[in-house]
Formats: sequence, structure tokens, C-alpha cells
Amino acid sequence: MISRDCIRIRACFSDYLDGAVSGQQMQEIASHLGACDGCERDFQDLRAMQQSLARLKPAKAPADLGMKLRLAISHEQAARRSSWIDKVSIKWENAVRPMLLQVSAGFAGSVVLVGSIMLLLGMVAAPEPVMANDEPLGAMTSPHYLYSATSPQAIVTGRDSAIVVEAYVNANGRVYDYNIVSGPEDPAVQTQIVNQLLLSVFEPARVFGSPVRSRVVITFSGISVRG
Amino acid sequence: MQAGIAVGNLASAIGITTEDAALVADLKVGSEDAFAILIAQYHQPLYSLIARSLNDPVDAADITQEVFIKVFRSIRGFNGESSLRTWLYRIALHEASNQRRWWSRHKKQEITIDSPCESEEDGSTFSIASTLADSGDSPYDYAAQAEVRERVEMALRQLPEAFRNVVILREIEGFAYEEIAEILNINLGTVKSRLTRGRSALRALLLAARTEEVNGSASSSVMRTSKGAVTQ
Repeated sequence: MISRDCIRIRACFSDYLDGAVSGQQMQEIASHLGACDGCERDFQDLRAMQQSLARLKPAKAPADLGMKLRLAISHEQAARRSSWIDKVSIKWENAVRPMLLQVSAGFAGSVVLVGSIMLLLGMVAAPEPVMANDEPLGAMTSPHYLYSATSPQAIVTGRDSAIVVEAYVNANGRVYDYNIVSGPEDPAVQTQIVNQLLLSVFEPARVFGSPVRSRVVITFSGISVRG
Repeated sequence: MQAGIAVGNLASAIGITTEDAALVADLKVGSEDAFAILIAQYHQPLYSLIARSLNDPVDAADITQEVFIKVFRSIRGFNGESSLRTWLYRIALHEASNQRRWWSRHKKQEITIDSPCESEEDGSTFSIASTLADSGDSPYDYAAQAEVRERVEMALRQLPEAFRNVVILREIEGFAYEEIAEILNINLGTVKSRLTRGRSALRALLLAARTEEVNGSASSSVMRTSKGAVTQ
């Protein structure tokens, strides 16, 4: 008859064999084994079995197994490489090759068609006329008034007559000199004219599109008469 | 010493070593030299494991080849979470298991995991310790030891698959519990329980074999005696 203690201790035999029990359990099992012949015999059986398992020699592989394995791996590698090449070649054979003739013929036809159209257009079409917006040779433009930096003010003078001024405009469109052609020449009037001219901006004269110095005749007709 | 081995095994169970990492890197790029190293290093232990795990060890060489081909095909998926050795053993046992299933369908019904093992509570006072013990190095002892090994191999082969794998990995291959759990993809508690039941079952099988052998020899001696009596 096996006691409960024996059952409990025997359940720990496997862990005890592997040393996977706590110190306290180990002591308990060892003292039980010392006192119980049946458990001691069973444990010795398990230990003997464990030792005999550990003594089992490895099952000897055939001598040529290593070589066979290397050969098998080489075949696998070759199969993998060839399978990649095969995939590409199959795609080429199945998808591209049947269309190759049609694609080539289509491309050649397009080249011929487009070439013919271009040739016909080149032969039949009229030469391009001279563009209307071309700069004519020798073209010169005169300067003209653009704006004044301040709002124009009336020139105050003692006589009611128009003032004609010949202004010299530089390439930047600013007046750099002037000459009163007709009208009063007193200093007060001259100062007013100078102020007006200095604040005026002109579009400069151009020769072949390049701005140049030029002259412009300006008439001041809005005259404010004193008195 | 054993503690040191256990710590080493545990370390290898946790992750891949530097040497393994270099080898795996070469294997991933398909280096033939790396595969040659892998084969040289592992073909013998894997063959041995597979031969013991199969019902018919004749197929072990073919299964070993299938294992290495599988390794070649799936090495790119190896992520280094386990050691290379653990990973290889897992593949080997998986392939062996597939083969066993095929074998059991086509050749023989295996003993199921739930089949009752011969209990040690059979009232027998017979001890296997005396018959399994290493008694010496004389030619007779050597022959006796070879016989014992054969008997143990036979008993191991009769063990249900789940127990057999755990017993082989622990007792013969020397894996730690954690590694066994990782290889078989089971938890630690299951490893311990299968090991306990596997050891008990193996002991029962060895006892039964020994009892049978003793009974056989006793009956043959009775037959010899009775034959002698008739002759006289």
C-alpha cells in the first residue's frame, strides 16, 4: 500500500532528477528516500534509466549524408536561380514576344506617317511672313510726357500769354536743361518752370529701341494772371 | 558545472549568439560556404534526433535532407528571436512529426498519448536499476551494455510522440526546459508534466520488457528441464 506521502514524493521525482526543486523540497525528498524502500527503488530505477538514456550514442548518420545534403542545397540554389531566369523568359515569351512584331510595325508606321505629314507641311506651307511687331530698321521715337511727381500747378505770371519751353530730356526721361522759347523771362516765372520740369518724367526718345537724349517742346497754356 | 551549462543553454534559448548571427547573415544571402558550415555542424545531431523521433529510422536521412532544404527556403524568415540551434531542432521535429503522421496512417497505428501506460503500481518487485546499470568494461559487459542500449532504444520508440520528444530533448540532447518549450511551442508547465509522464511511461515500458525477458528465459529453462526429464 502506497501512502499519500509516497505519491506526493514520487510526483516530484522528475524535477528532483533535474535538480529543479527547492532546497527544502530536496531535503524532504532525500529524507523520505532514506526511510522508504519502495520510493528509493523507484527513484533508483528512474536514475538508472536517465543514465542509460544519457549513455545512448547518437544515431550514426550515413557517411555520405553530408555530401548529399550539400548537393541538395546546390540543386536548390540552381533551381532558385534558374526559376528567376525562367520567370523572366516565360514573361518575355508569353507577353512581349507575340506583340513584338505588331509593336515594331506600329512604331515604324507611326514614324513614316508623321514624317510624311511633316514633309508635306514643309513643302506646301507658305514661308512665314515678317512679323508685324518687328522693330523696323532705323526706327526712332520721340520723347513724350508721362507724369509729374506732384500735381501740376498753374504758373502765375503778369501776362496772359502761352509759355513755350524747349526741354532737354536725358536717357532716363528726366529734364536736364531747358530754354524758354517764348513767354515772360522774369526769375519768378523761370523758377516755376524749373520746378515743373524737374518734377516731370518723360518717356525718353529711342533709337533702335535704346533710350537716348532728346529735346521736347512744351507749351504751358494754363496761365494764372495776377491782379 | 551543471548550473553553468544550464545558464549557457538558457542564454542560447533567449536569443541568437554573435557567431550564429554572422552565420545566419551569410545563409540569408545564399552563401554556399555558410550552408556547408551549417551542414557540417548540424547534420549529425539532427539526423540522430530525427532517427530517434521516427518510427522507422530508415527514413531519417531523407527527412534530414528535407529539413535542410526547408532551412534553405525559409532562412530569410529567421528573425533571431530564438537561437539557430533551437530553430533547426524545431524544424527537424516538425518534419519528423509529419513523417510519423504519414507512417501511422499508412503503416501502423501509434500508441495514443492518452493510452494508459503500464503503471508502476503493478505490484512488481522487479527493479530495472540492476539491469540498466553499467557493470564494467569486459567484453561480456560491453555486449550487455549494447543489449541494454538496444532495449532502451526500443522502449523509447514505443513511447507516445509527445512524451518521446520531450524525453529525447531533455535526456539525450540536454536541452533546458525553456529551450524545449520553445522548440515544441508549448509552455514550461507542459514540458515538466510531459517529462514526468514520459519518464514514468519509459520506466514502465522497460520494466515490462525486462519482465517479459525474464519470463521468457524462465519458461525456456522449464522447457529444457522437462525435455531433459523426458529424455531420461
